[in-house]
Amino acid sequence: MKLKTMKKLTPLFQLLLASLLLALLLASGGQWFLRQSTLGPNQAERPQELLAFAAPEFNLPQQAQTLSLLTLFSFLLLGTCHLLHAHKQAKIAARLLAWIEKTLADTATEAESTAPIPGFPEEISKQLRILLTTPDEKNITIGGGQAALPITQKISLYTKKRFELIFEEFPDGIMLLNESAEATYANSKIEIILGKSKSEVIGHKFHDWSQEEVLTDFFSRFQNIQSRLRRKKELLFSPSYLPERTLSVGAYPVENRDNNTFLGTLVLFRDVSAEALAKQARGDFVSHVSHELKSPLNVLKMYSELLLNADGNDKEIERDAANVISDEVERLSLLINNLLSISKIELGSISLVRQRVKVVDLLSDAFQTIARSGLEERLSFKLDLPQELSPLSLDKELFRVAINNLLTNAIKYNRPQGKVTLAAEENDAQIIISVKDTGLGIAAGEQEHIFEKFYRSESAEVRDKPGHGLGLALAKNIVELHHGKLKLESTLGEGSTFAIVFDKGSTLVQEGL
Amino acid sequence: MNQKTILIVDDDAHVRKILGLTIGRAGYKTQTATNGMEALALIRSHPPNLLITDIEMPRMSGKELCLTIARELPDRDFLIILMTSVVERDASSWLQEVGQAEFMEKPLSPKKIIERLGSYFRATA
Repeated sequence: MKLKTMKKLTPLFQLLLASLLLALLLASGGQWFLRQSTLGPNQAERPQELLAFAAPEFNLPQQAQTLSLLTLFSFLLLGTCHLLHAHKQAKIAARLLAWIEKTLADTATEAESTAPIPGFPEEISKQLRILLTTPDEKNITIGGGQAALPITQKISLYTKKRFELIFEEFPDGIMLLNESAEATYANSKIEIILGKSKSEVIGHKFHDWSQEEVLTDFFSRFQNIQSRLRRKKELLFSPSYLPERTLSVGAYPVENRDNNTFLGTLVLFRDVSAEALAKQARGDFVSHVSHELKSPLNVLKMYSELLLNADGNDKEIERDAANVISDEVERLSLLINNLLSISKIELGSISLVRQRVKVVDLLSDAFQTIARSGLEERLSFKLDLPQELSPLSLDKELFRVAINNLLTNAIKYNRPQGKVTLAAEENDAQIIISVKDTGLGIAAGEQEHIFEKFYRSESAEVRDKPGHGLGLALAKNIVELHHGKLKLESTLGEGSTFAIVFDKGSTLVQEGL
Repeated sequence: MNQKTILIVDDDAHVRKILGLTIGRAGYKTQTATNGMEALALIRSHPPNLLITDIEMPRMSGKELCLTIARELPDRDFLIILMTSVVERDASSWLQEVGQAEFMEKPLSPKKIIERLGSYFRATA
């Protein structure tokens, strides 16, 4: 802008322009000065950058910075007006200054308000705001005591609080041990896991709070540990005060790799009871399956060896051997089919092929087929079905397996000249299909287990009959897949009734109609 | 020659039958039991010269039978052969407690059983 032009401008405008330029000059210089003045040799210790480092999500309002600049400008303007005896202009500048001061005060109040910092509970937010807005070296009240905290310590405390909050939300127990294996930090989950309060743990060595010998022995390895032994270690144990639980303890030595100093040990406690039970169940299942498969194979091996070494002189034994081999092959085949079906249902990989089924026809057909196999036992069979039943939406093949299993059991565990009845009935609320026998019955104490995989009664009479303990488990799975219930009523020595109950409100029935 | 008595314990009727037949044809006398409790009763009255038992049985398992025998008959002098589907990892600890016992893994070969009986009785003769 030319000098001539400037002279043409009004005196007030000249004052405004000069003051603004001076303010900008001073602000830039001030910022430079702020950058150069440090509280320590580390660049990260400058207040603004410290705050950005510790609380990146928390920035000083831009509005406050702008207002600060305007304040400086207003002071300069006011001063210049007085110097030039521009009293009228000075009054305007004073009013501008007053407005700026009021707005600054409101902004400061707003900054100090109790509005919570996002992500932190109200009480912690209050403490954090005190930390961040209190000038250096001023005494503050924090955590129930007064302290003079320079800015670095304030930031350090804030960072520590942040991490403690994160650790408290962790679902597992977290503990920090120093090089002497003394606990320097523990989250609240530790109290449930160790059965000790935090105050009994923090500041104490492991042998003061460890109630288990195996745990004490484990932690002793982390006391003044040599560098060559600093490796992750893990332990699984069931504490005596929580015998039904399985806990995993992972200890991770923490080192400063820059200077190879040992900082302590991070310890994680996890409740792995569910995983341990699942592993146990898998192991038990494999063990059961192995036994159930090897038993018929054992018989097949022995009888086939007998036949191979037969000299042809004992036809009866050879025929007997051939029959046994045939029966065992069928038994093995049934076992494998049952296992596959159960596994598919439990894994959810089986999909029902539903169709509208006339239940009376299905039951009649199953009954006729199975009843023939019971004739040798001189059993009597009764089919008690109504003329009509509401059709159901069923996977016919699969449902037939369930009915067959119930009928097979009714025959197998019956007495000579006993009775097997297949019945069905329908009322307003339900359709009920039942298989009743007058056989061995099931003891009251065993009834709750009878539907478990591989479960067989301890009774010698039951054990004398061939079986794997899978038929009822599979039948129950199939019925439940069709949204029905399989119920049992039984009296030891008198017989059993297994009832498949379908609620007429279910889709199974509705789709069939 | 005194006929040796072999006690066969298994809840599977087919196994009892085929072993009884095979061992009987080899010149031994056989007794059978369907579970550990029955076997124990027989052993208490007439101890056999050798016991062949399954492990998984109702009422009393083969392991429980062996440990009971070790407790009640510490001076017994007969071998116990345990028929097993899978040899347990920690079996050696309780097997040592039983003493004079060994595993035979299923499926069994009757021929190998007869060979083992022969070698055992020759060694102890």
